[in-house]
Amino acid sequence: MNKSLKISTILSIFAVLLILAGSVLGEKYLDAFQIRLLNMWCIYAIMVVSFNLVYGFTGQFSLAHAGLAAIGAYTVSLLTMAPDNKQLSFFITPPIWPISVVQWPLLPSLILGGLLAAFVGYLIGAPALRLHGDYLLIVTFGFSEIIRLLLTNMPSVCNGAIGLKGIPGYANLTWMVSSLIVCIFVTKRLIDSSYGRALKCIREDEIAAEAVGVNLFRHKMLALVVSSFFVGIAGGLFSNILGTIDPNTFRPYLTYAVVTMAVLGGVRSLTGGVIAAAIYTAMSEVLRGIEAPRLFFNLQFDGLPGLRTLAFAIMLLLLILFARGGLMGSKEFSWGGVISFFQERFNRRKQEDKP
Amino acid sequence: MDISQILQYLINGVALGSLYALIAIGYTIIYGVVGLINMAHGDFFMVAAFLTMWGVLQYNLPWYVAFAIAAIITVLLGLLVEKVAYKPLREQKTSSFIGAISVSFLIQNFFVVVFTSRSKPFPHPAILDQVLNFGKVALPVVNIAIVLVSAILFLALFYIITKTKMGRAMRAISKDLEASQLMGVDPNKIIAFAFILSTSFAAIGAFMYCSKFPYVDPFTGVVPGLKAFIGAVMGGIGSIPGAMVGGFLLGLGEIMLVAFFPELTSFRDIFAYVILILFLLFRPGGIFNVKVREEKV
Amino acid sequence: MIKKNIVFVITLLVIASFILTACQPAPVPAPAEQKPAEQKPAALPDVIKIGVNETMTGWGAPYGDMTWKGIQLAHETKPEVLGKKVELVLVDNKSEKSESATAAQRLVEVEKVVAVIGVNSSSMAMAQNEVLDKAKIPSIGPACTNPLVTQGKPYAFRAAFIDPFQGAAGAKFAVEELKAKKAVLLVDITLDYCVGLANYFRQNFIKLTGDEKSVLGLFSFQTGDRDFTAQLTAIKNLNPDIVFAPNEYAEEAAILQQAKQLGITAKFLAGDSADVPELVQIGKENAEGFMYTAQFHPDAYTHAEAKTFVEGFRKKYNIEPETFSVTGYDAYLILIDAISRAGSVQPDAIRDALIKTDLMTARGQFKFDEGHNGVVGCPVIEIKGGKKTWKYTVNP
Repeated sequence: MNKSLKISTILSIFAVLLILAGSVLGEKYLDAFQIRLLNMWCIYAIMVVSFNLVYGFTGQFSLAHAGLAAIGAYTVSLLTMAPDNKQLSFFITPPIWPISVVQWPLLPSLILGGLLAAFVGYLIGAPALRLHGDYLLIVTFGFSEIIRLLLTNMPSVCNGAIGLKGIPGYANLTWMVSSLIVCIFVTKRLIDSSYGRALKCIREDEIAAEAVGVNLFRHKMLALVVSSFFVGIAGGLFSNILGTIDPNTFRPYLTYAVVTMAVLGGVRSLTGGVIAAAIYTAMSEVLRGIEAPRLFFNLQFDGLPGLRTLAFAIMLLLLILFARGGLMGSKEFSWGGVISFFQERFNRRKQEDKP
Repeated sequence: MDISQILQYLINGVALGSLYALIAIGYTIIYGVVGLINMAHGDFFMVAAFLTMWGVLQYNLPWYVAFAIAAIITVLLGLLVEKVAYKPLREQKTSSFIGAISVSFLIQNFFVVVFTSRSKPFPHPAILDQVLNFGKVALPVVNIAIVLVSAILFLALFYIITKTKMGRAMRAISKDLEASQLMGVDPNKIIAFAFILSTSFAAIGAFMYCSKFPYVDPFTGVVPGLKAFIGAVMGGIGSIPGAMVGGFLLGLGEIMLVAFFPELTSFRDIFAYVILILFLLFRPGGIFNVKVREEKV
Repeated sequence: MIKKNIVFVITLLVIASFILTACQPAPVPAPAEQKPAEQKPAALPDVIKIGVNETMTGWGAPYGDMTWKGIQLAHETKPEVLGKKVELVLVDNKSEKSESATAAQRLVEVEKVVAVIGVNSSSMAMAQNEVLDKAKIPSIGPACTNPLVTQGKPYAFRAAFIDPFQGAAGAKFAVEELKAKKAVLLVDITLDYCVGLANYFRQNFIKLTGDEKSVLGLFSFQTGDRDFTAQLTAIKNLNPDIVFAPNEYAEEAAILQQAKQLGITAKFLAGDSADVPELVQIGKENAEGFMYTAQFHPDAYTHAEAKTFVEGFRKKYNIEPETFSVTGYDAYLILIDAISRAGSVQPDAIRDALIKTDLMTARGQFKFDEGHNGVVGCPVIEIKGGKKTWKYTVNP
């Protein structure tokens, strides 16, 4: 037991180092489009993993993702933007005092963005987590919309509908990948800890969980706050690769995209979430092909824009109807699994070689 | 603010409130019977309006023929969606919600792909464009029509749910599913009936809404759907009088907020959400304090 | 115990790599791409690819659709440059910022376009230009009027005037032609275009009337709202001479209808986003007397190039030319002209040629100012008898 644990941890460390090295190399040798897709993948993966923590593992359906991402994005943007740039962007109402002068590096801004999002997550959770099922999702959705509407209504803080421009793109691929690794690591640790078992217990049966002494509210809140923190980070990174944001960037569609990915990968699997984020990002580019105008049997067809979104809607419906477990169900990637997979292969080949 | 102005606000508020109430009923009927937040309700609403427009614009049908056909298609679509997408998910709460979202997206994007998303004028009888003037107060005919149609529909609905066998069965199911099954009520039949009622209300609501605000595009249903939903929750989702009162108050409130606090107009939707959240937290049964449904996670 | 230690080590490693990468300056996109091009500038590709990034779906779809029509028409009239065929590559950005950025990146890296036309909506154009500026690919926005779009972006151009000019033109028209003394604003506060334009109108209106209190108030609503009766009732009570309402065409039509129902006599004025044929179809007789500043009107420009556009458009699409088609049309012609003058498809050469643009387009002699914004007139249009009629043109 102890030995296999050791091997898998060493393998994990190696894998992490390998991925980090890969990201540094990728930053150098991949083209900007591939890097952008990888970046988007990391951001979506963080969002999906944190969604799964709240929904898949704790059973609380929260639709506040878009709003929380907006908190992170605006915090990071306002903190990292150069004061001159802010003056240019805020051409209607000048920015208020602390915002007009600050300029921070990325790391503290990201952490503050995450913390603020976690705090807002706490504020949302404090009332909302006392509710169940439908009521919970309505309340979280409401809060997400309130955040977006507040952003449009505070021109002196976040420039209203005009949004922000000139957000420095400090975050490179390595940032994204490291954030994703930290996110997965923390989430995984949380799920495997005694807290995690309590969370799963809540998901399966709240009454039973309470009966065995699990503090429902505290555990749900823990999951939501941790998840909000990472959504805030994802939002901050998102603003960094876009370079410009406005409140309409954080419409509920963003949350629905995350839900689609989570369902695709399997809401009870972090691995599934990461894979699904990759598939979603790749698919939205691959499917561009079906929208393009084309020559078909010598007939010129105009392109049909919108087919991509339609395809995703159909996919989500089919998944929820026929494959609710998603790609991975509740399976996770593990070194043990990989090793036994190869061992099986190896053994089979040996057997094939024998006769 | 003089009396004529207040009257003017009232006239508009009552019309908007009646519209929201009409749409809110669709949510509440479904929720009462199936326990599902039908996020696609706004899109059924859009389908009815859009197809009416298409029939008139493309095939030169008279508006009433086009509307009749559109309404029938909407009802059939509602039944189809129930059968294909909602029925298999009836026992899973959040899955059925995700299913409803995906249906909503599917309908919207299908219309975007097939009909493009340009807003088109909504054909409606010319008489609805008339305005009656009483001194300084303007009373558009369409407002009278909205209030009249809503009132007639509300009375009809009350008759259906209190006097007919189907209606009584519907109420029985929403009170206690298992007991009513034991009493010989076929839930599938009743749920189909509920969807027919709900989509019919959506279709008629869409016609009245788009006659007042005469354009339609694939996203027409989103905002009124959301507003009506808030209204339904305020009134106590699952309760029919609740949806009426909730939707009505929300519409009236929207107008009155702008009337008395014009500088807060941009915060209007925030208030709507705050009220929604406050209701869910402190009075989840809504104004009418409906019994909260048992959880079926 | 071992487990804990190992966890600690991993955490340390992750944090260390975090900090290490944080200290590294963000690597600048490799300049390697440009070197070969500089060495042999004569080499032209067989097909010259021009990217079109437009809002084909989402809320901006009508505008994207009109622009795309204009670009296609222009492509038909001038399908070749430098003896090579021009290929248009259309990408849809779903009216979302992140999609717009990804789409632009795709155009650069996958499709290898030499320049990009897009996006009609400023919000998406800003996201696109963040990408294109880093890649050093020139772009022409057809009608994105927010001043921020080209600000600080040496490779970004636009084939239209900017909102400060449009707002000033609107205010000038209101004060000088309509003799308006009191104005009210009615604005969709969730759209950057509406908020920005209303702001410039307010500034200029106050300046021209010389009266700090000449703007009586700002009333707002949100995208998707259709009932404006409450705002309009309040506006009626203020009794302004003019209501400036620079909103999307469908909402504008609903505003006009409800204003007529409430018996508001003030003139309504809007910006170029109202210039969509559906406005009159939806508003019907309520749109009578409605005025807006626009990009183009067939009567405002009677020179040969304008006639070519108008007739070509009528022939190809069987409808009257639309405002945002002309900006797309002009953007394409300006770009083709620049490429032919540059004599190469090298981005820097195209950019330098663009700066020196002096071309007869459908909107007259076209030049860029030092901010890379189009120096073109702004026709004011009135709806009369259900038709767009040209009143006069505010020249820069």
